[in-house]
Amino acid sequence: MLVKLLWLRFRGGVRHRFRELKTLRGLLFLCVTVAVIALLMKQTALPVHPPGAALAEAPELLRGQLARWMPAGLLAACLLTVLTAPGPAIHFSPSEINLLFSAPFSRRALLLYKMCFYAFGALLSSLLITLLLPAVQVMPLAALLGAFLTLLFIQLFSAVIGMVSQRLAASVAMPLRRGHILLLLVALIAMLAWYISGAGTGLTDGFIRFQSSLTGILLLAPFEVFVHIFLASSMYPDLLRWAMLGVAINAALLAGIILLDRYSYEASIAASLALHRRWVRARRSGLLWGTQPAGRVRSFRPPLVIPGVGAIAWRQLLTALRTSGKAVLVFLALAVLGGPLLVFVAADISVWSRIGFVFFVAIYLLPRTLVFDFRSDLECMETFKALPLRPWKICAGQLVAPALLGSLIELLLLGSATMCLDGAARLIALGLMPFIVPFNLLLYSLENLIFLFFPTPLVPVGRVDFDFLGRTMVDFAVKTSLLVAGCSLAAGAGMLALDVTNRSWTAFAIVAWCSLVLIVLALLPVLSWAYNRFDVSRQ
Amino acid sequence: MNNSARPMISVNNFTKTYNDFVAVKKLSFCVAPGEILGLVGPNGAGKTTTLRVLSGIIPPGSGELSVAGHDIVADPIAAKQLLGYIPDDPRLFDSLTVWEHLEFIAAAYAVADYQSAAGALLQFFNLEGKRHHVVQGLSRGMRQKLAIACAYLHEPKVILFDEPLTGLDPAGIRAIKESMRERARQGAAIIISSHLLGLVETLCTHLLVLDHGQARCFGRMDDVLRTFDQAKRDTTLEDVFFSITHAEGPETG
Repeated sequence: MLVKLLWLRFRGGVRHRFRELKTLRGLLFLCVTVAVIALLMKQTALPVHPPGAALAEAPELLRGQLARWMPAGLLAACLLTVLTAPGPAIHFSPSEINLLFSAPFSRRALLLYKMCFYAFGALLSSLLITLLLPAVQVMPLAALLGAFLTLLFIQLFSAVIGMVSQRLAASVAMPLRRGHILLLLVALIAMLAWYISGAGTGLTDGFIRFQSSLTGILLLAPFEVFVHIFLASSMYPDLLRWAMLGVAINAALLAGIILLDRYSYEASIAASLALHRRWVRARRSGLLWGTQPAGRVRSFRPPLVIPGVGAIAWRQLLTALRTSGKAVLVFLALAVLGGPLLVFVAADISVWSRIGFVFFVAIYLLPRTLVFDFRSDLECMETFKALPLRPWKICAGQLVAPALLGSLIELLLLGSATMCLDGAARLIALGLMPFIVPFNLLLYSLENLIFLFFPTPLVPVGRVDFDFLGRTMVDFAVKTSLLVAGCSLAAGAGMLALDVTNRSWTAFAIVAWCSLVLIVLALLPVLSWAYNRFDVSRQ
Repeated sequence: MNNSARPMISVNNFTKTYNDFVAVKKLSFCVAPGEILGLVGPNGAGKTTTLRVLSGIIPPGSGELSVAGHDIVADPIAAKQLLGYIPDDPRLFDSLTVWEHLEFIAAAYAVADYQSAAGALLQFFNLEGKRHHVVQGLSRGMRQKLAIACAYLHEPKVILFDEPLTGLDPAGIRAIKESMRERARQGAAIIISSHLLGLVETLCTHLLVLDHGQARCFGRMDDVLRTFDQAKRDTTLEDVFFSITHAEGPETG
């Protein structure tokens, strides 16, 4: 019966994807996804050669880099999975809990059913990974099998760690899991930092030192197996030998889960429901990392009762504090540490790569975390529409919280980087600071504008969600183009001033800054118009 | 009832369509201060659309709609300032406390010295103990009561209720019914959209039956019941409803 359920769910998933393709939008997003995957395949298939390497040696060098970094990456992925999981076990959806738990199935059958479900998802993801990384593969079959077994391993490993912690916590009556994993993570980072500081020549050398130490060898040994599968050069003995070992590791972990399951049965149900609630919230509000406060909390009165903009902004700042306070704190801490890290530790990485990384964080990662505007208020649009406030006031109020928090994080990052810089680089960094607030206002205006036209939270629904993948890519491309256009306009106006004032950089900065602010102000009526045309009855 | 008074809600020849679907067609009615209009009709009759358009949430297709003398299209802010709307499924801000909701509404509607009024509303709706609780953990009934308290805070002249009693306990139902009567006595014009025909019959002074987006019957409750009384004695609103909409009611034998 469970096999039949698996088949029916697979059929339902395929039906859902095909139904998406029947709409013009779904078809468009699929085309974009396929085009981007093809481009990425072409890009990764090209002999991208590390600096100093000959073209012919490039794939070998890339494989070498993969072999070096992948075990540590897998360890980090496992630790992150344990840290971010809401509970200790394999997760079941509420419908599975309601229908299957009360049905005449053994617990072992249910666990195996769930494992098959995970395995199918892992297989789809592995196919995508294999398609996207042709340059580093020796044999596509090995890459597919390696990716598949690795993804399964991450899932099983984190489940076992969670269950063991649960068992230990029950016997010694102390909170384990997250605190201890966090402690382990901190110890690892400290150890890595120690090796890096000892090497004195950057991140790579420090990591190589750590990897060849006894601690590094012991810690990374289980993960090395999966790297060997991924990079196997022959069917026999390489692939077969390592794959058998990988399968044995996963089978042992699965056996461990079945054995440990009875100790974490109740916690598993609670964790499953918590996970489900988080997904429902994420789909509703777009807040992937947000938590929801419950019960009595400390109240904050609005500092000034300003009708309109103030009320909306105050409410969003409270939401940010209560739902994502921890995430914002993590970002603030990372921003403080990030500056020196980018300047010193990553000294062996090109300046453009570092700028690209910061740009990606600023325009993709932060906006996905700081969702305190229209994007998280889809269900409350009716309430906003009924308020006696002009649309521009509502729109301006919605931009305050994300722009303010985003600017604070970026200012801290730039500030900490500035402390480690000198000469012209320091001057440029200082000169960029005043632009951060108008830049973020522009960024979040565009985020909200796009959202008001296509009001669906950017959260995937299951694996291989073409709609989500396509939308993410289109969203990113459109946003980046508009941002670049806006910033280019402002910079162009600044260049004119530079020309007119006989190369006065102060005039350049003032004119560019004013132009950026004017662009933001010009966007506000457009945003208000988009808000006005938003029809709640069609949602 | 105050027939001579200037209507607080006026709807004239209102039509709303979604693509090819006509949700409401050439609807006209008015509600004077102190009147409570019961808006009834089968699912999909156009009740919620009418209330949403009146509250300025969605634009009308055509027709003239005004609230307290302000045209809802030409002067929406002034109209909304005098209006309170409680949707059928009130969406509250999950991370705000009960009291912060009232503070937010006070700020949005520019209500000065709202503290005592807000405190009294919490007391009336038995929410005082939840003042500093986030609404996420509140029951459906409590959320409904909070939504009504928010709608009452700025003393609106027009109040629109869409299924107001969903999820409420008996004490809550009694409190809200009493509050509606009280607001009407104070001169507010009220519309209640509901499927609970018993509630509409006992509470409303006027009746509007919508079916397939069109008004099938509009008038004083007594008059409507009396009209149908000619055919059958002790007519209830339920009889009237099934008679007008030709919907299939239970066999009465």
